Amino acid sequence: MRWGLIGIRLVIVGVSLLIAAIILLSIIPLAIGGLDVQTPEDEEGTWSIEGDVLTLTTPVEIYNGGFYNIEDFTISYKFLNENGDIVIQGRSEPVDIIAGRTTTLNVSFVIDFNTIDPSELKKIVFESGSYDFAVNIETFYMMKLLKLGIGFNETMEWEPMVSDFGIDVNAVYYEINDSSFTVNLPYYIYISDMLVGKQMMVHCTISNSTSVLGSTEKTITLTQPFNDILELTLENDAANWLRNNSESLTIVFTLEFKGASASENYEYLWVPPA
Amino acid sequence: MGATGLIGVEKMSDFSFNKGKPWKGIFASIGAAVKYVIAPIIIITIIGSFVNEFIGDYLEAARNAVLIFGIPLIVISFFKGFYPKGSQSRLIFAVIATALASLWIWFVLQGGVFELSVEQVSLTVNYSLLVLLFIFVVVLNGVFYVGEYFSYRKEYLSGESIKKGKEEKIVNEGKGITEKSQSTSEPSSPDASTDVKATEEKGKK
Repeated sequence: MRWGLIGIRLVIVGVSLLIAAIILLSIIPLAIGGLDVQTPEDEEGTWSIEGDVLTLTTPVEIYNGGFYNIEDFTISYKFLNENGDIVIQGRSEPVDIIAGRTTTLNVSFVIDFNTIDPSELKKIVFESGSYDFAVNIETFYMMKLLKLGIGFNETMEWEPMVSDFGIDVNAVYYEINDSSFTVNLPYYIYISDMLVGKQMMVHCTISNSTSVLGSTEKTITLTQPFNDILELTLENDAANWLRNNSESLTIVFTLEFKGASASENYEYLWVPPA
Repeated sequence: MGATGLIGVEKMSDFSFNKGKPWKGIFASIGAAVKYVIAPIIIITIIGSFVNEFIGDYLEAARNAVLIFGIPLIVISFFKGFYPKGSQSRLIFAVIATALASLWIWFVLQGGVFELSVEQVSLTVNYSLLVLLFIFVVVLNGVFYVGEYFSYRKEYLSGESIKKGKEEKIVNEGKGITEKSQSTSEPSSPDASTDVKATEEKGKK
């Protein structure tokens, strides 16, 4: 008997059977419906805010009816602007989806305002537009012999976080006394839920064609909706001039959030009090 | 110089067409044709009939690789089967077949990477470790042929010498020289003579 040759043959047969078993045990359970992914239908997810970090969490239930664990399941995502630059990106922690069980994954999309470039933050906070949203799922299967990657790419319309803001010019009023001249500017800000509780700087200047007559700024904590009055005290010379003369004024109302700002300009015809 | 020349002649003789059995070669070729060309082409065609729209390019590349590496494999397999066990010719063709089969696996399975992109969804499957496992089995098969060579080498050489002896005996008998035939029936190859001596020594012990 040639035991050496028989030994090699047995090893070949053994390894071949092992590979066949690995493949069959991997493919058959999944092919007959052993994998099920359930995403929430009625809700898109839950927003949570911690400091300057917004987190959208969506629970995803995955049933692994296969023979092997789905290992190191990770989800990475990117928001890209129209130039293809990455605005926001993130990656979930690797999770194992145990065979024969349903595992709930809390998929989180994190927006950290401190890491976003101010020019991009301006677009996100104040402007509508479109972004490419790319999601990539990576995982290992079949005792890590198989690496699977699934990517989704979708262009999504972005609604700004500050949907509307401005001064109610028709409701502007003033207070004059001997020592000061104060203009009261009622303003409003409409925001998305993501910004509720966040602090924002409100800034306003009043100028005529030659110079700035006065300015003011204020730090506010946002609510939805937000209505407030900005008090702007004019310089003495300007106040004295306006007591007796009409003037075409320009009001510039600016919101600033984490270095990103947006302004609204108004023309206001000042008529001195009778 | 003369001895080296003799060794060379002996080695070359392993490749002599007189030493092989054509029907064994044909069987080996048929086996290789089924394993490396016919069955894969059928499988690719069946898969293509279901999902050709998405992975047509992938299947086309696999089909080309099947033919490019499969047809030479059929030819090489003929010689692998044709030559007897223990011959250097069989070993060399088996090693070539192993290398070709490894390449066949690697290229038919596209190096273990499958990529598919349909509109906004992309799928990447990296199964290169699995492909390397397949290649490992093929290499083990190659190792088997190396083992087979060493295992059957003595038998092959003694069989050759007996055959040679018989042939020479017949020739000599025809010429009427019978005494000399005993001394010439010993194997002319140094390897073979060593083997025979080794066997004799074993017998003495």
